[in-house]
Amino acid sequence: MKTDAKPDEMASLLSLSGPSVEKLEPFGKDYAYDIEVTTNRIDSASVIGIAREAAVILKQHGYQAKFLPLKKIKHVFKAKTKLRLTVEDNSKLSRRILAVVMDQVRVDRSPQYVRDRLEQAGIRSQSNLIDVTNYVMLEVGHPCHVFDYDKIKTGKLVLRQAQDKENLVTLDGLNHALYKDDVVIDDGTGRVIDLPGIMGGQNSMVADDTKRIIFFIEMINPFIIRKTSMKHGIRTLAASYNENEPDVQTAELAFNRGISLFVQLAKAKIASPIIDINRTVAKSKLISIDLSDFATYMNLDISVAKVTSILKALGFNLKAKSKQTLTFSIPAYREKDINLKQDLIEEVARIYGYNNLGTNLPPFVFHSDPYLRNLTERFNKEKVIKEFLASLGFFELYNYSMISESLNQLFATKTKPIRMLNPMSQDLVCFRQTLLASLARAAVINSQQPRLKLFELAHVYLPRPKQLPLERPTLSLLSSNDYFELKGVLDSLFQMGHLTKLISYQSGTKQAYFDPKLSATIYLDNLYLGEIGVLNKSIAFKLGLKSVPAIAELDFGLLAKYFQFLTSIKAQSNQAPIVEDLTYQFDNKNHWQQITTLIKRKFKAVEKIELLDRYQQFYTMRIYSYTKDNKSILSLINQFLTKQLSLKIKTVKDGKNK
Amino acid sequence: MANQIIREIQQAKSLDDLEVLKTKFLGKKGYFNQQLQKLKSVSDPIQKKNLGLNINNQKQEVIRALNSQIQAVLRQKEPVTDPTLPGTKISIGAIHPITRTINEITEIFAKIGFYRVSYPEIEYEYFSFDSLNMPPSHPARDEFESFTVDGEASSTFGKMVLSPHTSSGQVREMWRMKGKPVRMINIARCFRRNWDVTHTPMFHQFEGLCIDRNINITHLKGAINHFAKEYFGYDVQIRLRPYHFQFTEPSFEIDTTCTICQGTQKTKSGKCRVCKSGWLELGGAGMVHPNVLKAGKINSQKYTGWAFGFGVERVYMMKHQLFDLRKLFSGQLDIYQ
Repeated sequence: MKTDAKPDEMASLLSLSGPSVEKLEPFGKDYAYDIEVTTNRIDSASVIGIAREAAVILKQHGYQAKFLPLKKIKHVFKAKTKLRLTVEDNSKLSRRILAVVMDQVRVDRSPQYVRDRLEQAGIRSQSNLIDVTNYVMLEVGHPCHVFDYDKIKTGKLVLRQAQDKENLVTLDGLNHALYKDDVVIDDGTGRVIDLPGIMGGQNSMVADDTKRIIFFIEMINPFIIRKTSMKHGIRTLAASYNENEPDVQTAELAFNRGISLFVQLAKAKIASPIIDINRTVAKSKLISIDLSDFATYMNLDISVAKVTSILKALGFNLKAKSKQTLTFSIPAYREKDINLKQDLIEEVARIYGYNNLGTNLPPFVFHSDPYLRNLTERFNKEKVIKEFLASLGFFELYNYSMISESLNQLFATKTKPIRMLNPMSQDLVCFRQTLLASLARAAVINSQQPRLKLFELAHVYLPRPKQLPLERPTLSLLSSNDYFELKGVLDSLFQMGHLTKLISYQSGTKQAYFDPKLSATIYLDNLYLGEIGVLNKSIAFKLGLKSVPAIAELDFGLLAKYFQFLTSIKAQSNQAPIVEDLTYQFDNKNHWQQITTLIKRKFKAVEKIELLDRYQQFYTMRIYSYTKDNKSILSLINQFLTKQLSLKIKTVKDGKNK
Repeated sequence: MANQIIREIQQAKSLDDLEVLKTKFLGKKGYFNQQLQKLKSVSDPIQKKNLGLNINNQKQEVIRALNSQIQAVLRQKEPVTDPTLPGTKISIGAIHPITRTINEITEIFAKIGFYRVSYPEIEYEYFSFDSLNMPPSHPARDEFESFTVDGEASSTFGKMVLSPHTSSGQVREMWRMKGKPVRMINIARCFRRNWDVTHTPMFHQFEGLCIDRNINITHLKGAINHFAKEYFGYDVQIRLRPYHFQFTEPSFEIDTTCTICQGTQKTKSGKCRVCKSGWLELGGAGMVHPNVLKAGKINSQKYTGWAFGFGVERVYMMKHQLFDLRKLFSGQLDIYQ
């Protein structure tokens, strides 16, 4: 390409309208462009491809630019003696095969310009034979391969699928046990000599004493190329090209260019008829588009002349035109990529310049949508609850959704967890059914921290038959302070959300990772909300935790559903409540929760009961009540508890009127 | 009398003593109120007025004396303290940077009428790939890039995979909205097989999806421009670069001017090491591919739309320095120190 644009100008314009130029680096008197070509544009992954794009883009921006295509040369076999070459592809594994034998090869270093250009592109220059294949790949955009004809001996190349227990030592010296899906080339005797499209075999590679070569291009199914290349870990540049399915015409261009260069650089002579097995059918693809489609996507009235000139420059020719509809033909090298009118819009829009299009906000729409309203409310509550916990000294963690098998075993629930089929690490295999596993692990990691307080709000994954797992938003807490402090945190959270009257606790949980002696199940409006307790001591021991933390886990969806920032403000009674204290001995049977519920149910005058004090198993409750004439009901409550629950009431103090 | 009271006050040594004296002289049943009570029995109005004035004047004197003695006692008693000593330590926790960033993103888009939704993280391959115009042969679907799980496959939607992007919510949202205009922000955990200083196998994305009549590229530019300026600052510029994604056509990548060198490529310590030629990559975007609209049961002749998918960690790292992304999910508290 010839242009008057400077390298940095070309770099920034290419990025805006074509392939992205990641870096522009001076290289002697020259420049090296580091360009990212997207997988759909394998046609531009070459010097020719970039030049073809650049010429159009630069012209659009007022620069002089002219694309100079490679001359099309058709090589023919003219020598008197011919060397035998047969290619078999009975399973039709390659969509096109091009092959020729070349004789009287002179192995040498490549000329300076070839070596420099390869080096600028990050490829080490080797012998002229290997350099030609790399040079052609970078210049034209199709990988090609050169075999040592004499090392193959049979003059035969057979494309077939690999069999079990076959091996190939690739030219980098590594031995690969082949898989059944791999496509290989054998020399007709069953000896594997090549992983076509990926890397050659050591047993057929050219060397300094090479005299005769086979120059070869094949086009295997890109899916197979990728699979083989990934499985064997051979990520060659050739594989990257072939994975993205270059077109058959580019292959032919590369083939002819390669022959010319062998002649030019290695004095090689064509020594066999050219083999060209082409299984593709040339078709001319047409796509129609309305002028209004451009306006719809670009918010722009664009003229037929402008559209046509941009597309023509890119190789799309206007084939038909009626009022509003334009029909274009697609050049061969874009056939795979261009399928829809939207593809044509993209071509016009990018060359026209996204920068030249306007900037508008999308029109506002009102959504009356109860689902969204609930969700938005949940997100708001999430935010406030997190802030609340942080201000109480809790640190928020984001842990991985997956845990190790061993951690999962420690925190096992009744259901089998969802498991990763292709984990990257043994630490990330089982999907969490409780976040407490991760928090306990974090407690181990941060065990040097005094008074550790952690929380996480994330999904647990609960398998369900015949559908996706339930992803339940869950709030979990861990505190190295005592159980009652953590319970106090929950109680204050419930108070903040005006839930206190709806919350009840029941001693014990179903989960084995809680200490059965000090744990409770939490209910909200009689629905299961979660659990609180001390971590099971044997788990703490196995994890290597020196002290046993308190832990809690709540169904966040349920919590958020009931959580309210505000409730109605009721008129307060003018009367001061009677405040009376009562101490009873815990009998390991009747829990605070039941006792206080019973009292409230029996004595309607009781407004609230608080825990005033506890000493060993003696718990003192403070009872607030509103009675007629401010009469004490303490003796009645005392009687009731003694008779109904056989509780031992230790002392009865007179409450103070407040 | 007043002088005697004042002397008594001036001899008081403590605030408690003063409190007693205050009640004694100025309280409800104190000296001055008693004096005022006595006035009732005086019949001559002129004498009554003079006496009243006199009592009040004395009372004011006493109040002044009391106040100045209070100050005197306070001055005596108060030990001298360094007011610049550190306050009492109150331990607070912290909100994770990802939560903060998600909240910011949600609010920025709420301003222009975008609502936040949430879609499955363990997802059927139909929603993660097929509905997004990614055929089974697409490299992103293979075992080297995407995670699969052992959940029961669906006869309609295929295998269970880990959603590698928030785009999995696109067709779900189209189905949910049943043809009503879409203005979605979907924020979720995503999973890919990448693990290094700038990649973790779990990360977060936010996905914008806008579908309506006459939605075009300029609306995408507007929305992203709004985000970039609100989140990074008003001096930030954006650019669109042509790119390729299966589920958008046309497709672009969006860059912002480098937040470190402001696009100049120069910093105080030399050439900017953070950006590529003054620009930082924000993420991918494009006009929703007609096949995706079709999968979403939307008539692509009538409706158009755009979508983008950006990384939450990515925008966080563009705005704030973070030396190792893996720290965010390590469970270590050192990110808070």
